[in-house]
Order: sequence, then C-alpha cells, then structure tokens
Amino acid sequence: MTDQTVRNILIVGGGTAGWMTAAALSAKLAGLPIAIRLVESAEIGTVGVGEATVPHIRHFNAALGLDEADFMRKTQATYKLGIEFRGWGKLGDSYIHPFGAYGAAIAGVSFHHHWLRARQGGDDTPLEAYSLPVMAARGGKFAPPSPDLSSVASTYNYAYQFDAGLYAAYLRAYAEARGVVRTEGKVADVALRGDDGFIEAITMEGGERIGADLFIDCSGFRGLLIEQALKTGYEDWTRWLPCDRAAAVPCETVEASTPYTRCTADAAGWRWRIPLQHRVGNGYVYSSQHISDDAAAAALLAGLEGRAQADPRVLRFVAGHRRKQWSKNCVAVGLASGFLEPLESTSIHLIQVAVTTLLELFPDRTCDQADQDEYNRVMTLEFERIRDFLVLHYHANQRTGEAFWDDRRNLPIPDSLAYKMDLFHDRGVVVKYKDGFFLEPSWLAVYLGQNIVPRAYDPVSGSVPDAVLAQRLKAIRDSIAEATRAMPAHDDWIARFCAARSGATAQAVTA
Amino acid sequence: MTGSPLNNVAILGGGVAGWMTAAALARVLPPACEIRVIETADAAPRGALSTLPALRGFHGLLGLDEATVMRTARGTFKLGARYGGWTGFDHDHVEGFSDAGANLDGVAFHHHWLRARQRGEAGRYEDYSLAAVAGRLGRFAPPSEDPRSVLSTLSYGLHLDSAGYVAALRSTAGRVAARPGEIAQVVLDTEGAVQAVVLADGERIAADLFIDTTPDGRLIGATPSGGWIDETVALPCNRLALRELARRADPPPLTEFETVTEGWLRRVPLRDADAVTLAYASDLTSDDEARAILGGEATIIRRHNGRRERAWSKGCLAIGPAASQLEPLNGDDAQAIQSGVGRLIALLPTAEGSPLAAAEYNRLMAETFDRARDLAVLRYVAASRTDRFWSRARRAAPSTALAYKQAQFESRGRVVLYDEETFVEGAWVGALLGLGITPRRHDRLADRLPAGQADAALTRLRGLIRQAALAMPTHADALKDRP
Repeated sequence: MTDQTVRNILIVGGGTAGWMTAAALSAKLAGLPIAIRLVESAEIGTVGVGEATVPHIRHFNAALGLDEADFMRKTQATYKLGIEFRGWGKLGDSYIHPFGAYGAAIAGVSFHHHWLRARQGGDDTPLEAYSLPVMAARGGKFAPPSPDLSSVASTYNYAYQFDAGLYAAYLRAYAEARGVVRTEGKVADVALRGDDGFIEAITMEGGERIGADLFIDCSGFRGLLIEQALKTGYEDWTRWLPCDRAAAVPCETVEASTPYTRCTADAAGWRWRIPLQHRVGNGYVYSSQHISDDAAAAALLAGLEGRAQADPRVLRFVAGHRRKQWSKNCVAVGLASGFLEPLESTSIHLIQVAVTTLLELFPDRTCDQADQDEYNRVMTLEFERIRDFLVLHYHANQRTGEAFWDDRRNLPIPDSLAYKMDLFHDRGVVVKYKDGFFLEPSWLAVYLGQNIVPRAYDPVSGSVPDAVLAQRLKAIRDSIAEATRAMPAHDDWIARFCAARSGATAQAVTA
Repeated sequence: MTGSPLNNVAILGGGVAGWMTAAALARVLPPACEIRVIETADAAPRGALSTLPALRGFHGLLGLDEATVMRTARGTFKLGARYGGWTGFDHDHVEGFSDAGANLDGVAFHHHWLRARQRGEAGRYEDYSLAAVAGRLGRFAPPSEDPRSVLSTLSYGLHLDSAGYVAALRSTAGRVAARPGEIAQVVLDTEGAVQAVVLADGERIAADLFIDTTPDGRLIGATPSGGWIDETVALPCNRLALRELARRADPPPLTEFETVTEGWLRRVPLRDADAVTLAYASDLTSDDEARAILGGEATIIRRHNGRRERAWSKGCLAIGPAASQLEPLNGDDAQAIQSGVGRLIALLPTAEGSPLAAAEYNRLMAETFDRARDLAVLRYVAASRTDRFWSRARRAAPSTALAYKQAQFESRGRVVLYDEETFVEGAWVGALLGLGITPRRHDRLADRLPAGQADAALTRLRGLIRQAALAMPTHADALKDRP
C-alpha cells in the first residue's frame, strides 16, 4: 500500500481564521512529518469582526498552552461575562445573556419554573437577580470563577473581548515558532487535478507555484478555493437573517470598560459595542434593504461615546454557509465557510469548532468521502442551531411600527425554531439537543429577556411549599448580591492582572 | 400556572412498567393527586431483567435501597455482557461497563489500540476494560470514588427477577392504590381520546391521565393515533421462551448471550438460579421446539418488535411494551421504561392535557427507541451465521442512521452519536469492535506518540487492569457480603 498520509498543508489567507488554524494545527500535529504553510497578503485587509468571544475560547487557548495574562496584555483584552441586549423586546428594554445558569434546581425542577411560579404569585424580582455574572456585569465587576464548586462564585464562566488583529498576530508568532512557514503575496491562480478535481496547487502573483495535500481556505467571504475554484455553492439564509452589511469604527474610551459586550437594536439592525483596553470597537449590522450605507454610518457615529478613531468601514456579507464546508481536499474555515452575524459572538467560536472537527477527522491524502460527509454534517448542524438562536432575537420583538422589526416579527421563521418557541411558551420547556452550542440558560435569557413568558410552569415545582420557596429564592439572591459586592471592579482586576502597557503593540510571543 | 394540576392518574396493566411508573409518580405528584394501578393478569412480571447502570440512578431518585432491591429481587451484579458465536463458532467478546483504556495524548483509546494492533500483539480491545476483564474472571467489586484508582472506571448494573423487582417497587409506592382488574372496554370520546376504562367487574375508571402499561397496548391501541411501526424485518424474534435453570457454582457478573440456529439464548444469573431466555422467530421455530431446546418446559411470551408512532396521545400515554418492544439483546431491560417515566415527569401535563408536551415526549421517545434499536440491529448485521434465521435477518436494510454510523466507524473509527443515544461512545466502540467491525484507518494524531512508548503504555495498562481484577473478590463472595 502506498503511503497516503498527508505531508503538507497549505492555508490560504491569514487573519483570525488563518492564524487560529495554523496555531492549532502546528500544536496538534507536532511530532508528525507534516509541513504547514500559510500564504497571505498584507495588502488584503482582515475583517476582524469577531472581537467578542464565548468561553470556549479559553479551551482553545489552554490547548495551545497560552499564558492568559500574557495573551490578554498583547491583545488589549478585557473580560466578558455576557452580552447586554438593549431594545430587542421593546424600546427601552435591557437584559444580559450571561455565561452561567440562573439560580439552582430546586426539588429536581429547573430554577426558572420556580421563578415563574413566584412571579405568578406576585413576586416581581427580575430573573437577573439570580445570576451572579449578570449582577457582576451590571456592577462593572470581575473576578475569575472560584474553583470551589460549592460556592456561588463558581457558577459562571467568562470569555474575552480582544483586538482580533492583535490576536492573529499573537497566534502568528506562536505558529511560526512551531515551524509554520508564512509566504507573503497574492494568489494568482488555482490549478485543479484533471482526474478528480482536487486542488493541485496555487500560483502566486510572483510566479511561485505551491502544491499541497490538503488546502485550508481562510480567504474570507469570497472563498478563493472553496467557491471560486471548487464551486461548492452557498446555502443562503437571507430570508431569516436579512442583515447583509456592517459598518465598523473604533472610538476612544471615555468610561470604565464594561465586562460585557453590548448589542443595541436599531432601526434596521443592531449596533455592537465591544470595550477593549485601548479603545472601544463599534459597529452597525444592518439590512441594506432598510437603510442606506450613509445613514447607517451616520447612526453609528452618532451613537459613539468617544471620538471616532477612523472613518467607518463597510463590510458586505450574506448569512448562510457553503453547501460543503469541506469539498475534495479543501476545508473552508472562517468567513470562507459561511457567515452568521456576530450577535452572539460566534464568529471565532465557529473557527474553533471547524479546526477542532478537522483535527478529529484528520484525513489522508485521498480525503475519504466519509470524512468529508461527517465534517459537513457536524458543521451544518452547528450553523443551523446557532442560526435558530439568532433568529429568535429578531423574531421575539414587540417593536411595532418599524418596518424592519415588523418584518422580523411577522415573516416565517425556521420550523425548528417555531417548535422550540411553542414548547417554551406552552410550559417553559427548553428543547435540548446533544449537539447545540447554546444551552438552556442561554435560551432562557433571550426568551424571558424579550418578554416570551410561558403560560404555565412545571407542575412539579408545586411540591415545594410557598414559604419554603420564598426562603430559597431569597437565600440565592442574597448570596449572589454578597458575592457581587466582594468582587473587584473590572478595570482594577485588569490593572492588577493583565494590563497592556500603554501604547504597546503586540509583541511576538516566545514559545 | 395556567391549567389545573392532575387530579388523578390511572395506570392500567402493572408489571415492571406499571410499577416503575407508579413508584416514580408517587414521589413527584402532589399529595392531592390520586394514583391508581389496575393490575391486569397478562401484565404480571415474568422472567428476569438485565439492566444498565442507569437504573441504579433511578433507584436513587426513588430512595430505593439497593440491598433491599437485590434481596427482594434475587439480584446479582452485572459488569457487562458476553456475546458468543456472533462472528464465528469460536467468537466471544465482552462489552463491559467501563470504558476501555485511557485517553493517551488527547486521542481516544481505540485509535491507539488499532495502531498497536497493526504492528503486532495488542490483545483484545476488552482487555483494557476493567469491567470486562473482571466479568470474565468472575470477579466483582464496587467502583472506587477515588479518581486515581483504576476501580473508579467501573460501573455496574443489576440482574433482577422481575416479580421480585415489582415487589420492591410496590413497597416504595405507599400512596398508590392498587387492585386487580381486567379491561372490558375502552371508552373513547368524540375526538378519539380515552374517556374511561370499563373493567370486567363493571367498575368505570375515569382519570385525567391514563397510563397504558399493558403488554399489548389495550388503551393506546384503541385510540386513532395508536399506530405501530413494525421492526420485525430487521429484528426477527417475535417469541421469547423463559425458563429458570439450576444456578452455576460461580456465575460471572455478566449477562451471557449465545447464538443458536433458531435465534439466540440469554442467560441471566440470579441469586439462586439462572434465568434463561430463548429468542426465536415463530415462522421458523414452533413453541414446542423452543420448549424442547430449553429442556422441556418454558413460558412463552409473544413479542412484536417496533414502537408506537405516538406513545402519548391526548390523555393516554403508553410506557413499556405498550409503547415499544425491542428484543432484549442489548441488556438494556427497563431502560425504555425509565426514560419514559423520566420524560413524563419532565413534561408532566395539566388536567386539561398538554398537546405540545406530548409532541415533545413523542419526539424524544421515538429517537431514543430508534437509537437503541440500531444497536440491536447491528448485532444482526454483523453476525456471520448462515442459518436461515440469521441470513434472512441480515438481508434487512439497516436504518440510514445505523448505516452511516457503521460506515463512519469502518472508515476511520469515528463514533457518530446522535441526539437521545442510550449508549455512550465507549459502549458503541465495544460493540462494534467486539462484533468484528474494524476501522480501515486509525486517527493520524495517535501517531504522534512514539510507537515504543505507546506499546509500553498499553502493556502497562493491560497488566494493571488484570491485576486489579484479580484482586477483587469473586462474584459469589461479593454477593455474600450483600445479604
């Protein structure tokens, strides 16, 4: 049998996707005779929309062996306990989707049923009083979770808000230290093999021809390999997620940095606010059917808290994913594989899932169809389940009289989401699946935060007497309030643990 | 809450399904809710149960003391199941209740085993599962709580006599009113919902919720939505012959399955006897022939592999054989009942009925059945016997889900797990490899570990496991310690 093992991998495109892939492959394939190369052009800007992350990024960093404080300093990172959503249910509403559960199960019944029961009995305490990460976020506080699992201070998780460009640079240094070879330049041509249509090689504008056994397409929206060369097609989800543009602009920091990201609903989409150590990232994700680029840019600038540091930059995209994110000997990662707006900070997460799944299914040179099928099954499921969660944010609105929001509320939603919403509305059941990134607390945060209140609660909660329930609820609230008081201010913790030197730029890590 | 709580629940049938349901509902339903069991003669418990470790969690929720259960139900310990004669006359493998090996260098163990096997002697896959090794050696010890101990990898299930188990369940269901009775008539309302059940003695039973635990689904089958999805093509056994045989001197803590020309034989060790089951197809083997195989006498039970399209329809919910029947080839007896009861409690309806909760229940239970069915079907797909019974079953097309799962494993040892799997990754790997389904490739990342280092780690692990198993008491002695 001839040796069919992969001996060289070519990553096309740098940016967050390219360098996360390069870093993970260089770490996990170390010790195997596999050469990893990355081509990128400094002339092509990176998008770097995903500046806010979800807690899984910590596993990714830990698997690479990154030092947290060092990584945070070099990427101007802040901590993130959740996302605040403003104006999504009705104008003036605010809720935080936290990285942590609400309360604790009582008598084997999920907490929210007890909360619903108390609420029907006249107790108007908001759900967020039972979430430590929300209370800490509201108070501008942060401390890492306690390792003591019996403590309320262990009941949350956290992620980061960082400069994606600096993160890419940080990982580039990591990957290059582990043997990844970077080549500067633009790709001029892609050659396919005659017999099976696999990618044979790319030719650079400078004339160099680079072949590989496995190609990773990190070229961004255009999908240089996966679409332009292999023509795999695109599953278009615009009918559910019509936002197709974003204007982005950084501004100066004028207030204490919040340990959370903010997403504010606006006339034709929503605006993000992501506080970093050295600046605040801002953007407006909008539907070009509902607002012009100029009006969107003006709305974005008008909403800034500090002086803009640049002119707004406009990005275009289409919600959805490639029909095959792995086709022949090419795997698309990042924006080349598809796009879901960063409403729940999933862009970097999707890169992480792609790289992890690729490693789990690491192929030989034939790229067995079974490997491709399984990769595409897993990634499609991941995209679909995030999609449903995003659509929920839009659909569950009460902003009557605004064309964009009226459409979101009235137009059809995916059947899979309608089913979930019906069950929740009927009796507070959150549908669970094995594979699904957002778990019960996340769905609860959005449902209840956007005023979808179940008609009924789990009748088993009735087995807890009223007085006992009231006492338990108070005990949970009190312990959370006390734990919150004990936490330092977010900026103080950063100053103590991971402050970037002022004016510092990313330094190469020495690994 | 909107809607009023259940005022009364009537469980028709009884047996293991009826009493597991009654005991669990007695724990969670408010005291004001009346729970009745009408015990029909045909639902009386028969034979033995070979159960998964999960059932012990159910006992924990009920507050049912394990020693009491084992005493009342003539119970023994179960560390897994042995399958003999599947891929040849000398075939034999054990699927143990502890995952094999250890995660080396972040790569699942079976890839390291596959790699070592290509180079030479790596032993059987099961040699790396403490439960399997101890089971074969006839040894038993409870799991250790210390994660550094190899004994912490163990878990165990129970072998139980059904009648004794029902007695134990009944003793914890104090508030439940029970009486014998035969169903004379099921009265439906104009929408096809069960309105009442009339018993042979004339009593008319009304309830907010009827739970059908009869062996043949007398209630659910009478409703317009009680259709049955047939699985007898891929799973051919429609008869079970049951008999108890004399206890062996040193019964292993294993359920043992053996293929025969007519189907398969199962042996479940009880305290004082072995409960033996012959599963066969009635068009190929007569009941008399089955009795003769078991030595002359046996209780014959009719089965019909498959499931309801909807186990819960309006105010009638089926649990146990009324909801689904799967020939007991996985050693997962009572598992479908346990998940049915657990989900009923999670989706408890109001007195007025909860159609959306019922739809979700049906989705979950259908998925659960289909995934467990796939494992049973795999045992036919992978069998190499050429007897008519076996070759005919092999011609049935496996479900899309199973075909995909098998293809993925054959290709590169990937275990695909869907929603609502009863069996975890380690259980599937043990079954697939044990049944001779071997991947063509192993995970390339396993090659990072230098070959000599990997071999040494495997050899050390095997030795450690064998040593730990030999240090355990025999199963018979372990049972003496739990009188």
